[in-house]
Amino acid sequence: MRPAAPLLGASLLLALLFALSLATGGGAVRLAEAAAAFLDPGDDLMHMIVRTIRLPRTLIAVGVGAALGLSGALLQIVTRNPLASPGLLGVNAGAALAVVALATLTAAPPAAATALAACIGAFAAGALSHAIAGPAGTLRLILAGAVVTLLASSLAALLLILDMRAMANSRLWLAGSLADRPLALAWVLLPPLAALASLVIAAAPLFAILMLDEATATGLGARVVLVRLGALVLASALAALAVALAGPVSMVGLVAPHLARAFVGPRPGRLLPLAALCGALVLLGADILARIVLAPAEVPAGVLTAAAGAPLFLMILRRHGRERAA
Amino acid sequence: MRRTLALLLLAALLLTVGWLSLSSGTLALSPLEVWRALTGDAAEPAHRIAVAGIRLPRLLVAAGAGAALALSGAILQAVLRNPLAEPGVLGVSSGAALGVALSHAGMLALPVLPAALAGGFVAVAIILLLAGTPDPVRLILAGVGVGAAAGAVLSFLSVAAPVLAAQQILIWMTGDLNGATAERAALAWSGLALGLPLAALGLRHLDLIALDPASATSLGLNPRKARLGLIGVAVLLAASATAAAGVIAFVGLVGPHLARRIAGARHATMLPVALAAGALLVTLADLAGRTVFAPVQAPAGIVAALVGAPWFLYLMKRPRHG
Repeated sequence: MRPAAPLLGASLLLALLFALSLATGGGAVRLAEAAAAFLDPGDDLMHMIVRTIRLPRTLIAVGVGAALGLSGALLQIVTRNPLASPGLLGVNAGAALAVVALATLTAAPPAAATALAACIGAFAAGALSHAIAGPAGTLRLILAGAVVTLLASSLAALLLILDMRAMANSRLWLAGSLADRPLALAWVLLPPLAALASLVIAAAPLFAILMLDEATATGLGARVVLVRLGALVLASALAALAVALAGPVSMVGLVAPHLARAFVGPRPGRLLPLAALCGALVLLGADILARIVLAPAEVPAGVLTAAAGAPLFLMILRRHGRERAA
Repeated sequence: MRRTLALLLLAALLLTVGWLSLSSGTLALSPLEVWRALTGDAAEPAHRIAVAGIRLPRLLVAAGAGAALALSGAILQAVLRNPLAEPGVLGVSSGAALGVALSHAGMLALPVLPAALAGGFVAVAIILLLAGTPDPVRLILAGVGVGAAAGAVLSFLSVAAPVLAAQQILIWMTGDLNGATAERAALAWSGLALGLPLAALGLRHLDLIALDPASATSLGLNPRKARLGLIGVAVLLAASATAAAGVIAFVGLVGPHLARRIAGARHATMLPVALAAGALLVTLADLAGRTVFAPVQAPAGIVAALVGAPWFLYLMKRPRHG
């Protein structure tokens, strides 16, 4: 298959889902009507809903999904671990804990402060998982991440139980819901997220040296340590921004890279752009479903991705064991 | 000698914590008032309601569930030959909670305890199927995955179900003993009453399987059959504890590890200590959860996780489990 074909296909699919997302929800709009909301804007209520509620929500889903897909792909490359992803390494839960802690301190923290807190939480949790797993373990790393996730989410739950106001504000966010996210936050956080994502995609071929074994890479004069550190920092920052926007959405960071790898193989130069697109597709698809399955009620998109991703996690785990046994 | 001392100390601690849970709360009572309320000679009717009607069932649920979880964890650790095995981390508790939630939402036509049992058994079957190799970390990870799947379905139910059922589901997910009733206490203790004799029957097998399955076979035991039977007992214990108290993770890990440190690895001497330690852990977690942050009540499951998760990480960090 030509390398551009999957990219093109995924982009087309994303455009289709984008349009569908604008047209789905309470008081469904036909596609033509959704288009009219932009081409021929009027004061009619439906047009307003499409422009001011569904468009930002769709953009958030695309941005967050792409960030999680990229973050997962980077982490899988750096740790050489097919199960690595921001959700499973505790990075998401750490970021969420920091955001919750900030929310209990001040009523309406500025968006930049939220993002910064998320980054700090993400780095700390990721570092803790790594420190406990030690250098040897691939599966140990995932287990440490699972327990760090449990610890961080229990702490977050405790903070929220003690602070009813913060609980009311963050309950849906913590379940990974894209409904009613504050627009101010989105307009501040989406641009840096897009910038980081473009940076990672532009630098994608650089990460190929991480796939060589250490001795060879060093022999070639590559700055392995620096590239690895850069990849970890970028992956954590992307996940942190995603969490600040949409909560600890789980499994997108695991699913997207595997989907992408099935089409273009493991080379970072091809894998990373498609992983970003796949992440956006998965989360946007989940968010559209989230509005449909229990309509008129909504399910948090994160609940759907978790339910779909857990079996995949078990499948990868099973395959991983077989490969190691062989 | 050391073991007797430790058991006595644990029993004394358990009594003290039990007494404290009966006397503390919004209506603080003196030891004498608690005694009179228990013996039906209360100075005021409010005392009797607070002690016998509210706090005693809660204490019984905590102690029964804690003991059952610790026993379940000890059995799983021996049978799976895995020091990190535990019903909470392995997803057995989440599976049982899912069964309970389905039964409450009317989607599973079973009473609470059989529903919890069914959920726990399904979870354990999936784990055993998926983790064919004896790699300990892989087994636990399969459990983590099963737990995540059950948790996702649970949170979906909590959105989809009617408000009242949704609230109960959320309570089960965090291991909250607030509003525990005599029926829930009966659930926890009936599981323990069934599981304890069965575990006692399998004591010899437990030691042999934990140490060396090969010599178990040469001694004429059937380790495969014994192992499956013991896993069944562990699921029964964890499911009844979950039906009574919700998902409380890590008690099944910390209880047996404390016991092994105090009383050695032999199950005949270690299990009684593990039972007492488990009961103590959950009663203490519940007491702390409802008094430290009063008037807010933190669920016992969350307090237990805050203590247990670091313990788990510490056990992982120790090199001999690498």
